[in-house]
Amino acid sequence: MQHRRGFWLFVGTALLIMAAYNLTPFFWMISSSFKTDIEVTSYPATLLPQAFTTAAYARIWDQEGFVLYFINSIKVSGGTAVLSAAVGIFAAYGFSRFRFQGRTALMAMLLITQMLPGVLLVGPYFKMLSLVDLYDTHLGLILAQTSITLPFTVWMLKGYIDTIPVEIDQAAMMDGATRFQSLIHCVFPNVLPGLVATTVFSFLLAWGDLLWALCLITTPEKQTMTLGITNLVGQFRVLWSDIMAATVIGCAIPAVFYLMLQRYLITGVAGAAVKG
Amino acid sequence: MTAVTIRNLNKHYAGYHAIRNISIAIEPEEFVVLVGPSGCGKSTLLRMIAGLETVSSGEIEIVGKVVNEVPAKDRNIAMVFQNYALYPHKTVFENMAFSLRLKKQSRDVVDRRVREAAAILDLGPLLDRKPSQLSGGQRQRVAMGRAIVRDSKVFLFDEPLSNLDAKLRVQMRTEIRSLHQRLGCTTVYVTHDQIEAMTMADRIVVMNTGVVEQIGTPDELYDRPANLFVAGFIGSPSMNLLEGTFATDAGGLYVDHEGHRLPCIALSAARAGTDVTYGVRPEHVHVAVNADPDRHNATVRVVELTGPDRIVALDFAGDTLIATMDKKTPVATGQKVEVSFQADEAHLFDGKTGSNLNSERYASNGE
Repeated sequence: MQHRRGFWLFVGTALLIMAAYNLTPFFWMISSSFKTDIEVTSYPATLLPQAFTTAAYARIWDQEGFVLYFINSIKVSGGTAVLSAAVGIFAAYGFSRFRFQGRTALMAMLLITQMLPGVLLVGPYFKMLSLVDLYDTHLGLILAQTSITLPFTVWMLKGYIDTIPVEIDQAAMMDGATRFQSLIHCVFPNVLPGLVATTVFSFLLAWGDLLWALCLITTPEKQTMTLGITNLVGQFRVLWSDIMAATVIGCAIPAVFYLMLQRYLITGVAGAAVKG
Repeated sequence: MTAVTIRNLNKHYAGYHAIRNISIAIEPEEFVVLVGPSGCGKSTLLRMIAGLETVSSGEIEIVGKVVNEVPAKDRNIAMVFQNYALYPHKTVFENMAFSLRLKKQSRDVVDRRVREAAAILDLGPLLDRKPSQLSGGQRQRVAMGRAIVRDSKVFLFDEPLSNLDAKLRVQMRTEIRSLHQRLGCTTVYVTHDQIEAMTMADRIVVMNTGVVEQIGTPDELYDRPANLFVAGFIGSPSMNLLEGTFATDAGGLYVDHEGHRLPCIALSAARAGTDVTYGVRPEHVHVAVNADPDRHNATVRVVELTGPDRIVALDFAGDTLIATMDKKTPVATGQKVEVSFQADEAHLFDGKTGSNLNSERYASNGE
């Protein structure tokens, strides 16, 4: 009994330290966003705002371009998520259900692309998008982001589809369904948690991206929020409370997303992990 | 016109010949069971009929039309899978209605047909449930219901009872059989369980390593197995097979097994000295427990009570011989007994080819 208590005390402490390690930056971000410009740079630093103010939020919201950055981010992230899911589900179905030559090699290639640092691909993408007149466009950015999220989406969804007996598809075909109908009516509804999980993953990855947006977008009106936030770092002055307020707003969307889809996300990730 | 005709059918996978030149004609309303050990090709054959596997060569004809190139969805065949393959996200009603909805049947027709099938299978109260909320037997019935609503030409069953417990399996066997009698649909049923095959089939197709070993009624297969494989596969407990050689003496032809004289009927094909396998069903092994000690030729090794009978394993000339005995006959492990056989109850199989040498007698008796 004593032994078990000691074990749980250890586990509890470890979890507490991990939670603190993860949550401290969030706390600092939220706290700083409600501080005045002077307090945010004062020394010694204050843990909680001494003079609570929402001025930074008001400034950010009133600032020209911020709402546009916000909308641009939603467009690019949403586009990436939808494109990844749409292409990923069919690719994953193909990899899961058909035995064709080069299948294993293709799957391995998808995995290998995940091992390359994104920064290596920026150059080739810049060149390719320029060639097809998609440089400095949201569509170009969406395509680039999708190339990063798609391999993960395909692997994850394949793991999920693998857990659905192939007899389900065959039963649907015996019932008179085409291959496409069997996918839509019988497989698709059963991979929904996995699909939601991968869609959210793609959305979040695109939402938090700075590298690709920085390299593939130049026009200020097309910039995403992450890029917009970096603009708040001036040559002589860093607007910390404004940056923190903008970041809090930036985090709000994924947080709302997560809360809404929490149920699917957990079953989706767990499902692929356990059954895949 | 036959319901299903299979002509010279072959299936090749990479480096593997799964189905070897099979030909079968299945009559309308017939209940045919494909039986054989694992890997014999029975499920592959069924899936080829269903259209879920391509045909390497040969023809499959369903109600007069060659369907080799017809996709599964257009063959109008219903199939019940081993794991039921119910759509997990749909209710029982939706599972059964799916095929009708694909055919764009009106809401009234769908509702009527599903409820009719549900009534046949006693699924009425379960229509709003999801498959996960059903027992194994109920899922099995839903899978059958899904097949019934389609009004198909042919029903295919791929080992549908193997996931059920022993009691439920017996119950479902009866249900499937009575359903077949009620609907009068042509049925092809795959199983590895020869008891299932014997109890359900009008005709049985015994398969082994991709070939058909014998096609016949359960009685034919049991009483007149074409070869050693069928003789050993059909029947539970299976036929005793003793290796020996033909010999003759003043009493006529017999089989010599380790110095024991095993009686057999006269066969023109039999030559003294040639190898033969002597087959005798457990119920045809006559065990005398009170025989003169001089006549004892076997020792009781194991006694199993099955209920109405006892199954007795005997040591007989270095072989294990299985006999079924009336449970009233007292017999105990280690007891010495006399074992004897009747010539007309014995099956003789060619020592080299394994084919049944009694075929000559069956032919002359018009069996």
